[in-house]
Amino acid sequence: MQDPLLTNETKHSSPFVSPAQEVKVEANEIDSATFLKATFEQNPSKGLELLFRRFYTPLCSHAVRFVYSKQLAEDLVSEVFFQFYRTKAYENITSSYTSYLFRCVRNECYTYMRREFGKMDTLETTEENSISCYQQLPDAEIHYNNLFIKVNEVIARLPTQCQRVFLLSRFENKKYNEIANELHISPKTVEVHISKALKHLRSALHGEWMISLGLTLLSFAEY
Amino acid sequence: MKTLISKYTLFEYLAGRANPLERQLVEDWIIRKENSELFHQWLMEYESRHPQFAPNQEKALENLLQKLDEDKVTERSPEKLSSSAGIPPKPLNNRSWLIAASLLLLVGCGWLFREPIQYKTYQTGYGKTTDIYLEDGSKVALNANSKLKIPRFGFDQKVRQVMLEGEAEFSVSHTVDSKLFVVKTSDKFKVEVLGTTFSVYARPRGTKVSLTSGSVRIDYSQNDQNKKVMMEPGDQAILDPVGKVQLEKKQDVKTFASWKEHRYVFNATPVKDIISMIEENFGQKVSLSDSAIARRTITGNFKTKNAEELLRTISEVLDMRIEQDGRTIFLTNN
Repeated sequence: MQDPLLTNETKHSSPFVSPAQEVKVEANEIDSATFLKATFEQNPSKGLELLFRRFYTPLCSHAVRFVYSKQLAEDLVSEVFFQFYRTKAYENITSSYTSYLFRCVRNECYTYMRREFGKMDTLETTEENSISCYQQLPDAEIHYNNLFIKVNEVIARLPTQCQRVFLLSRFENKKYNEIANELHISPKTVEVHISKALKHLRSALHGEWMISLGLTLLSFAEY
Repeated sequence: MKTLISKYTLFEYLAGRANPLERQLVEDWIIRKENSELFHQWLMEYESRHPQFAPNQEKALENLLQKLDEDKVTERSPEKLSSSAGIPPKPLNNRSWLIAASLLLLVGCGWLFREPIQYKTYQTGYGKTTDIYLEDGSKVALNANSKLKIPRFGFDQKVRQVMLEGEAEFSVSHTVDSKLFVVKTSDKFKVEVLGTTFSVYARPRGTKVSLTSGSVRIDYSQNDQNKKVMMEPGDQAILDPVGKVQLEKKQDVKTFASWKEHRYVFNATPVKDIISMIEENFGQKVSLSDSAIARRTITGNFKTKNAEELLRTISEVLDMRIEQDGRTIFLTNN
């Protein structure tokens, strides 16, 4: 089955198919990139500020798809900016800023999720880390995509009340007591719902970590 | 072949709405290195168009800059310290001497009692076993005549490390942040785990690790070289006198820590090993009248809380006589 909207899109507005548009997008990107680069050379902290204002919200929006917590997403993204500036990674960046930042954030999210929902295999990865493979696996991006799509699916499939409680607790970062008051249920029930949701996530994501050895080390050193 | 992917297809894919065919196409496209720039740009566009929430950007930026400032300060402070060292120290008056002396005394006392200050020690006597619950939720069953040292400070930091002399079974609980749990038996031998059940035997007679479930890694050094062994459930790792670790696969996990139930499982075990075990666990010295006895083996499952009972059963099985001479027990052929 072919989606009518989709064929439409391929015909008219795909940058690949219409070369003029593609050039325009790239030119824009290059312009702002050269501008940012120049700023970083003259005044790194100003450069950081510009970069931050431009990317913080979209990056948080992406991170939250993985971790499903506003607070965590913001922390992870801030940490990426922090390391980016502290390690002076902006000095030897070879890809675009967009690409660099998204890769870092996605990798951070992946690592975080594996730490929280993964199982014992971290032991092997520590070994893997010491061997230090600076190469990002070619299918890393696909694993990242599969991960957040899966997370989203699992949460969408949760029973309504369980989902509501889980989102209030995790996404909105509310306390058990607040949720209990808001939904007129006992704190104990809140706890049950949350542990149920986490159990679902854990078992659904179980398969995602197997392929992942070495993936973690998309360290900043790569650039 | 160059696949064409529209931005729309990618967006549908990111939203989890792509059908399997489209999904495959998109993934084939993403995997190609030359597309990764465009993929990230479209991802950026997707997230800008469909933001999941509106974070407080200004507040976050403020926090970030503050954090970077603090970081700078801590980086610089060592220089500051070295520059102040250039100023000649003021001559000390009487009072300062007193303070200095008492400080020295305090440090000295701390040094003398560093063991009891740094570590909490659990020790079991002969014939006694005990269960210890650690603050991270892990459980340790300590066999007779064994000693477990747990650091009082920093146990819950980066690595959870304990020191063992003797024999113990560990049920390590897994932490959210996957903190390592390390059992050290000597400077040259340690077992690293995340969450799992295993037992460690570390006595003068040898060192042995038996894994019931999960996975552990053994770090040891042989001839000053650091080596590692990964273990799987059912494995038993034995450190031989030369310092080499040997792995025995597919052992019966139920026998690994049967001592917890005061049960002793022998499987063609030589009498020599059994009497060493009795000496270790019950502090009871046993002598054999004839070295041939040492080589005889016993297979079976004995439940007992004291050495005499165990010896009586063994001597009946082997058709031997027990004679007590002071503190030593003699086993002689009938």
